[in-house]
Amino acid sequence: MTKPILKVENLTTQFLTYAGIVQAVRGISFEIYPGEAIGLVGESGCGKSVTGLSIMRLIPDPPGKIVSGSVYLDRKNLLESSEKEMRNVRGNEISMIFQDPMTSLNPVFSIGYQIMETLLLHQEITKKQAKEKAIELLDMVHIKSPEEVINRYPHQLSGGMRQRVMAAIAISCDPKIIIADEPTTSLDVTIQAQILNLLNDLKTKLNSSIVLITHNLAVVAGLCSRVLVMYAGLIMEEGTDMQIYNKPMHPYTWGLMKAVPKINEEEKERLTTIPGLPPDLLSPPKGCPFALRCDYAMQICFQKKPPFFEPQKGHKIACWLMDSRAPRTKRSM
Amino acid sequence: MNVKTIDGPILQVKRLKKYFPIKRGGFLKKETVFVKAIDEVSFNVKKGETLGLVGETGSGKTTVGRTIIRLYKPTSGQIIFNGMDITNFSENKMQKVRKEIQMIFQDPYASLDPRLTVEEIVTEPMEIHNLYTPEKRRERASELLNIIGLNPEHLNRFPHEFSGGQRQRIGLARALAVEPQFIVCDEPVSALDVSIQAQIINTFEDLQEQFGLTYLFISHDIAMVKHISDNIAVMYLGRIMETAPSNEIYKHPLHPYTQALMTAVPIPDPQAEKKRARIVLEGDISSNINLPKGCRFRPRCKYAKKICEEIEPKLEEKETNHFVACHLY
Repeated sequence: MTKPILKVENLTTQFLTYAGIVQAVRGISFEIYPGEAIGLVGESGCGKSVTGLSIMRLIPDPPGKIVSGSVYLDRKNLLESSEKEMRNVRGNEISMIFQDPMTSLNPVFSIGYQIMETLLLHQEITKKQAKEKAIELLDMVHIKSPEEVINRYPHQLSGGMRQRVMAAIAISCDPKIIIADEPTTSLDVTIQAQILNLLNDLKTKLNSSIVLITHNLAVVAGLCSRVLVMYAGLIMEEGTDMQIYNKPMHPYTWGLMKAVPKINEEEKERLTTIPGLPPDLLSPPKGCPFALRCDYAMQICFQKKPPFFEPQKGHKIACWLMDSRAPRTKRSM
Repeated sequence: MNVKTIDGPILQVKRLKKYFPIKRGGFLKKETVFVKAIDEVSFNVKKGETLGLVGETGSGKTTVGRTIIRLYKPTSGQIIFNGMDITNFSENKMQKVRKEIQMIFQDPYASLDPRLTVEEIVTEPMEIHNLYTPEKRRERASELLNIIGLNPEHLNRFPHEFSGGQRQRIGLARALAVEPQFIVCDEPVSALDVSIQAQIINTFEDLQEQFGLTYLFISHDIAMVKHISDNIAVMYLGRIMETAPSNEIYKHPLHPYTQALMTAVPIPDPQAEKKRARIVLEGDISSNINLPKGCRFRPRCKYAKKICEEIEPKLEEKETNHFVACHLY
């Protein structure tokens, strides 16, 4: 087995607010292997974006704070690196594509300038070479007539094109890992399909790893080979795409799967809802955070946080139902 | 329910146009151009059914919804509701029609007045339409909260005390307050999380069954529209390209745009998803100020022929109940 390229251990990120401490990420661990795409899935407020930002050390401090844990990139712990070292990592080894292509580009600089900025910062090349590379990158993300586009400003491009430019910046220094935080959420489906195809292309061409952060399970299905399902700052289930989609074991994953209508459904089925709301992260419940909304909750679920059970290699489930003492439930999707 | 109107369409839209003028140029060379938000749209909605309106950003689907309830004045065309031509109704007359047509907006955070309590929000439409006595209104408000799945004790709270899904429920209660026949739902669940979306969509379906409501459901989420609608109309640049029963349009999309749209929607199943042949559209939606000549989808269409450059195809019935505007058929 190859060695993981990024190892996140017990990552805990909190936000100090007037109301109290928001425990956004509550000690999660996972690994990313070279050249793989993993999906980080969950609803808003589950901590998926904060996880991405924590890896990049982009959590605004204050109010945010990475309280404990480690993020190993090769042998280096990013959480103990200096700001200067981090600047070398960001954009160069790990880069990020943000959700909103409308606001994540600087409106007063040309597209070319913004791509060249990253290149000039991280690589020892001349401006002329950087410009050539910028054109090459735009071509790689399938932008037509890149020589013209580099002189344009963000407002002159459509949302899909801006997201491509973001992708071009992200891949400019051949990063080992690309973190894509909801890269298609604000785009139309046809444009979403273009961007997903592009990410898939880049993955094969550059052999980079991709972390796709999204709330859309369907988007993950086409791109990722491993999926992490997050809820209330914790990982609920982790597994390969087949394990998660074909044999999900966590009641929360079942709920998520059944709550979205499938476009290929034959007969109209009533959507299954997850009753209630996610817990308040100011004072998360003692036991399993999903217990209050779970149809299968047992006494222990309210008292003790479930450990990870691993019934199959690589398929981890944080649920007491997996314990051998739990009553056999009909685990159907 | 009124048995007489069950078969006929409750809403007929005929050749509806809405152009927005924009002034361009300087002092000397002033010119007015038009954004053709809706460019001859026609459709019918039958009582008790749901018509889904899908399309990309800028296709004009929201404008259609807003023009139907006359939040915008149509440029030309006809809107016939319950047999009445409401296209040129005065504001006064329109007021009465709005008792029957209500709207639910996209953003549950912006569509409720933050300074009103839930009770005030839900009773306001009844006051405007002079329904019931004040005591009865209050009673009805708590009844409505029960119907849409909120606790009547919440009547004295303010919108900021609720989550997005709960706010959308309050918007729904407000729309139901005047017992409308028709509700225009403009992206009602787009701003919500998936598990909350399902709750709201199920509530929509229950209410339709309970009160015989008719919906115009506007959304860019095609899987959701397919789930809730009986019929689907696909819009592109201000015009309907195809309409058909929802299963039919997914299984046998005729228009190349619909085909691309349907295959672009991801399926939450890795095996199906990785095998699927996807038609990826090149480029972006054209500008609706200078529309392309001929078919407006031509610049992105891989089947475009000579005729497509010259003549705009009309929406015609090619199969039973399946209308398409394309020269291929």
